[in-house]
Amino acid sequence: MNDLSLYILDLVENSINAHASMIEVTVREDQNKNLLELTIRDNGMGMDEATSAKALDPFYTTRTTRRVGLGLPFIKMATEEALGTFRLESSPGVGTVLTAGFPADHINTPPLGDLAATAYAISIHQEVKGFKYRHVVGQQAFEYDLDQVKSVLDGVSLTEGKVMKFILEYIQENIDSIRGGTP
Amino acid sequence: MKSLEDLKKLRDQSLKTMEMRYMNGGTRIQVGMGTCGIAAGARPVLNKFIEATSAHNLNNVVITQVGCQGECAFEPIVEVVEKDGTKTTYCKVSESMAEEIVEEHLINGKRLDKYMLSAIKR
Repeated sequence: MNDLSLYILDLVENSINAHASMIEVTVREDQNKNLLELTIRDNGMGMDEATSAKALDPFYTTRTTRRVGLGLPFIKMATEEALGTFRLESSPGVGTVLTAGFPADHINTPPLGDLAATAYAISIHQEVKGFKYRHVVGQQAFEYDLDQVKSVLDGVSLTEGKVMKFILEYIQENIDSIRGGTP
Repeated sequence: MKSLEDLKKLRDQSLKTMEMRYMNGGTRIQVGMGTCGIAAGARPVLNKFIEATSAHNLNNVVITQVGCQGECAFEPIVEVVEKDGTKTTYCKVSESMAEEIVEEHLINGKRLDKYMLSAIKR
């Protein structure tokens, strides 16, 4: 993993596997606090305390196809390498909130990557129901809501070539705009 | 800057030419999007399949994302599942290979043996 957008795409799979009906991803950039913060909140099945702790162990996984589970250990390691913060709060039946904070100016802080491509890939995942992507820069925010997009499309598939191109550009342009034009 | 109103316009304009895609009964392209697949570059490959199948007006193809199948070293892995259940597993798929798979396998019906997991994994 070499950018934030890939971590997000990977971590959302955990929410999907937890049968979440709503997944909310927020990337917040706060220059004043020198902070880049990622939050992933879902209303999936959640984990008890013991499972939460084990989930951070690379040799723990619930899948059966292989014996390692690297999604959470990777993001936790990324925050540690940048002297950032990592929090995993979960409760059974309620959901899980993951928060990863990076000092914006640390050399090991991952670049944002292609957030539009990640939001699009999540949107077309066949098991994703509700999904929101928020990008916040200081006082400005952009929110992408899959429900809204689907109701506008009214039956036209998200995987039409033209629709894909539009969505990717729509998200990217709005993120660029609140970031002041710096890609 | 694009807005949802623009998406509405695109939708209304395109509806005439866009055929609704069948959600089942056709060919399924399954792209491995576990940690391993993502790290190996599956995301642009997924988008390339959408772009290419759409450009060729393949209405009977559904593209889905699947988790790790346990062959992490050979990601990005893409499975083509035909209507009759025949499954072809391609490995280390790049964007250009994705286009080739759409053109050769899906359109011309020729399986690309050289890209198959069974040929590459020895």
